[in-house]
Amino acid sequence: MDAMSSGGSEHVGAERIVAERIDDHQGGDNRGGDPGGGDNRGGDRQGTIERRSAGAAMGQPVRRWDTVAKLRGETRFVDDLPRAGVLVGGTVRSPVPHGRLLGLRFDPAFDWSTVTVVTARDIPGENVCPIVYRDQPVLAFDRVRYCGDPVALIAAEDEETLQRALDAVAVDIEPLASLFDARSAELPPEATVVSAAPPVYGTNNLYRRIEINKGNASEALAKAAVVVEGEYETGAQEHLYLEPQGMQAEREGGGIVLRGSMQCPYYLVEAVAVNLGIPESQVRVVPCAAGGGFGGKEDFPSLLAGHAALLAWKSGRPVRMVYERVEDIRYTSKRHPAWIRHRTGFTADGRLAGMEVELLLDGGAYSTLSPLVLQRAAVHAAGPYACDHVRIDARVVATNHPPRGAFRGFGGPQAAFAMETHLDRCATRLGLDPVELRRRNLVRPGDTLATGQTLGADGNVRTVLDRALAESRFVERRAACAAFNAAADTRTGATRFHRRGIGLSCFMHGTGLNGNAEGFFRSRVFIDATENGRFRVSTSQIELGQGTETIVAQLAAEGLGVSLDGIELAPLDTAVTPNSGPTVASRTAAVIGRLLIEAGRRLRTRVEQFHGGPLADESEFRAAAARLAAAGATREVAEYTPPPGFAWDEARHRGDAYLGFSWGCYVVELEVDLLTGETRPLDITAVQDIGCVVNPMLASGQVEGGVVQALGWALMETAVWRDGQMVNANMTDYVIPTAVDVPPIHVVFLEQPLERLPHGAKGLGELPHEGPAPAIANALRHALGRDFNAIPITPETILASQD
Amino acid sequence: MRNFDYAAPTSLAEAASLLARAPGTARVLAGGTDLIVQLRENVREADLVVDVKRIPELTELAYSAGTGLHLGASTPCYRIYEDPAVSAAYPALADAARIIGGWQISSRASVGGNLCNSSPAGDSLAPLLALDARCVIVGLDGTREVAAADFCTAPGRNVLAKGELLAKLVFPAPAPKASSAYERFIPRNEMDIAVAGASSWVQLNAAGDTIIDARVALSAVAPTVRLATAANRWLVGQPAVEATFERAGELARESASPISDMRGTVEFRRHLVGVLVKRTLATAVARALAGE
Ligand SMILES: Cc1cc2nc3c(=O)[nH]c(=O)nc-3n(C[C@H](O)[C@H](O)[C@H](O)COP(=O)(O)OP(=O)(O)OC[C@H]3O[C@@H](n4cnc5c(N)ncnc54)[C@H](O)[C@@H]3O)c2cc1C
Repeated sequence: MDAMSSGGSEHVGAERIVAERIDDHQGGDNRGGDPGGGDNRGGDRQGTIERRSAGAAMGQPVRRWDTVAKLRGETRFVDDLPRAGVLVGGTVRSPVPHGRLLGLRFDPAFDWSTVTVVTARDIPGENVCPIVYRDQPVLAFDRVRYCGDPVALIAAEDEETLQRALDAVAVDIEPLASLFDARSAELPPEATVVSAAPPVYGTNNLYRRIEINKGNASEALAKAAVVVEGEYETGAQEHLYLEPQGMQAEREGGGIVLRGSMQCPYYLVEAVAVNLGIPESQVRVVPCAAGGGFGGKEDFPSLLAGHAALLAWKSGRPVRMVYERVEDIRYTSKRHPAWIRHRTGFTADGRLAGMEVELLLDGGAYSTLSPLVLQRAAVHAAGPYACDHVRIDARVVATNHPPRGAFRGFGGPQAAFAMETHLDRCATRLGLDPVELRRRNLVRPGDTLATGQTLGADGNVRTVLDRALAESRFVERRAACAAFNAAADTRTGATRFHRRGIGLSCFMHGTGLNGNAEGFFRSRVFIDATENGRFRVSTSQIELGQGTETIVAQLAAEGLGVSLDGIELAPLDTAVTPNSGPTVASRTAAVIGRLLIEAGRRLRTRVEQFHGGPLADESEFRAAAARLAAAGATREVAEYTPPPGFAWDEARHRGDAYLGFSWGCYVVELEVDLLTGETRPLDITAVQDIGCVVNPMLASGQVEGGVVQALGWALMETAVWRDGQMVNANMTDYVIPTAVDVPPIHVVFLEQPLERLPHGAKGLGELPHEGPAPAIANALRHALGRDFNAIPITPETILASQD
Repeated sequence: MRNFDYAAPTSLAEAASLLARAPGTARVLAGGTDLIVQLRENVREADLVVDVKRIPELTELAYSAGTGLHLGASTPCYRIYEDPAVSAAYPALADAARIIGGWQISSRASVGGNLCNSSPAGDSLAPLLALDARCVIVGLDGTREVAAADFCTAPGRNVLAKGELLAKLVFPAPAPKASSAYERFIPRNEMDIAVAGASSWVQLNAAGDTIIDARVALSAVAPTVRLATAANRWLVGQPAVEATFERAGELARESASPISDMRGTVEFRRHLVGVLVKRTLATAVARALAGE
């Protein structure tokens, strides 16, 4: 039996509109294998979606497994761990953005015997937070590079003592000139001028440069009939996950255990082992429930875990560090601000002749994930378009801002904003309809992207565009907007000053980690049969509120061919849980999904062999599995290896940059008030092809959430920096959208399965952050007849653009 | 947050005496939607917190068309906008009460607390000025009254002396052919601090075509909420038409002395004053004509 391959071919081209179809489906909480009070019934299987396999868990709008516990307040976050005997930890930080650290002075009036203090000198292992490069110390020792750079740690019995101790440390610093402008950050190769300050990073402040070359772009541009240039800019963005960063460390035997909020438990294993100078086998990580991440809990928890571990190691006591909101916003990473320049050549009939993209990211004071964010930004810089001659030159540089890091989209949204805003301007220059310009140039199956990656049968982006045009009634709405604007003077009152516009964007998002990284991680998952006739699934994927637990269960059920109530999830503990890699890069449904399906199918085969023949009936199958479990170990392990034919040349940036790509086309209709500059989105249509919708309800939630987050980035979220410090680091002054700022969002999924994966799934989590900003800028351009090349587009920028 | 003592007196005299005799800093607690946040974030300190919500006068809401509105200082905002008679008689006040926070906040937050917090951006303050409310202040030595327009003295400061508390706000009985409105500008649709705000009260002649009296007040564009005096003077006798509202907006801009900060620049705030004054005048006139 091979349900997936037949299911796969059946749903080629299948389309589903799921946004309107969210019913109250039953879920359950099977985590930890203790169904206990929680109901563990699987999803409602009333056949709203075609069955995929015997169990048909996949494709069902199964309610999130974590919701009931969360609604009941039973979920335990790190700050809910018992407090008895636990010290509270805090951080002594640099008060300046750049300087030489001369020393720390401890006020003798304070009784230092009551607290534990850790400075760089107390680090038993290496003073480095290992992410990609090794430039970030866990505690600064010779130089501080951003306002808030940690220089010492203190653990105390209570908050009040901690606060007094933190206040009793003076940090002696010889300030150095600070570097805040990324555009002038990179130093020439042989800097002849003796600059006032040493570089923030390396010899020239350049973290990484990536050049992608396809064909000969400069020659193509020289010959092009029309060349359009443009410069685009995007701002920093704060994650504002509900739960701030938090970690608790405790010695255990000869090692240490960490509990906290994170996306990547195995990153912590490595980081803490490096900091304490102990083997990784001595570091155990047991994640708590996490209240959101959006990328903000990819790299930062490694640093915080190092801090908590150092305090616990020295004090011999459990130590908890939970950031207050202001500390969290000020000192943890943000989305990379970007400056992107396009030069695009067209043939006389509006086909792409050549593209040149220069992209610059402000990486902040340490590299964290910047080298990888840059890679994704570079690969996405030329968008989902077919062009034989492309040159992309991308750089990420150091400044004295707090480190920038991962944020939903990981460089993709910046790239998409520039590409799609630019294309609307190109269309005007060419005298073409922006839709037509895209239709002429979007990739098709068999075309290659900028890195030379050849698209499979799922590379039909026109289908996505066409569907978005149809669903949004784009042409009709566009005419209605124009009519509304033309009739402005006939209206009285406030609406006389209202203008309407509609805009769209086409975009893509690479599934999983870039290039060879998935192969490098060799992610593994386990599935065991249990004696009670269920299947216990082990992965290191983290539930962040996005529904990971639920889809992991659905995917395992799909592989096994059982219903959801046959699945339970093993609690996550790196001592026993296999490393299935980080919960990032929109990879779980696709990459981990493949492993779960493989392991599930193999386990089914084993059970059937043990039984001596096929077992179509689920209860018989589960009874046989229980007998197999009783007879001995049943563990099936699936390990990731790159699919046949996958090839990526990291040095030259050629080949398969990702396993595949999800495609999106979003349409935004909006109204703008000429008097106040307010923009009010009226309606958003979000059409995307994600290969395989594992859970339509959760998938819709991802799209809606991503759209709202991107809407904030596009229209209001402004990080205000003064001397390298974010001054609006609180929820009063850093304004994000609330529910009443969100227009109706019409979500449509298409499924063009990725041939490389058994279930065809492509990434979803980050994709929705790419589409809204450029669609908004294009809609504003339609409404007002002016370009909006930088975000956020605040009321004030709209008013300023009028005079 | 520092530890503090807590008292919940049941009479005004007891409250005044607690406030007057407390060593250190005593603070009044109404809905706590400003105070508790400020204490937690160490923006304000208190040695004694006096919860006044058990004093019956402080949570009264008494309205009659003849005597006007007596609004206890701690009455939560929702009681204003959920009361049809009060909302109809003082629409500017209801406009403000409705937008102070979301419904969780508005079921705690009071107009008295909004006023005593004395932020120039407080949403109910401009309506208090436009509606010509009077503040009844109680201390150990008895009761005194000041006009709402004279209550705030600087950002976060007001005329209350140690030992005094605001007991209630008194609004004159609604005049015929008169109405009011309040509007603010924020960069999203709810839950934010005003970048600028304006409240307008107008009274029309019997024919309803001429303004015979007007009070426009501005928020978030000066150290305290203030009346747009020049506009108010000019408005008397003007026809109730859009050109009048527009001109009043221009005049009101001259009364604004805003600062630039991360919510908006001086120019943007001044510009908004013009827009908001024009809009609130139009709304107030429309309401007056509709007989609200
Ligand atoms: C999420 C949120 C959203 C908000 N949104 C808005 C908004 O949209 N618009 C707006 O204007 N404000 C807003 N606020 C601020 C606040 O809610 C208002 O200022 C509210 O009106 C304060 O009233 P309160 O009863 O809670 O005052 P409290 O916090 O109890 O008191 C405020 C201050 O006044 C003093 N005080 C209170 N009553 C008296 C009295 N009778 N005599 C003397 N002193 C007194 C207190 O000591 C304190 O200093 C918001 C606050 C939050 C937390």
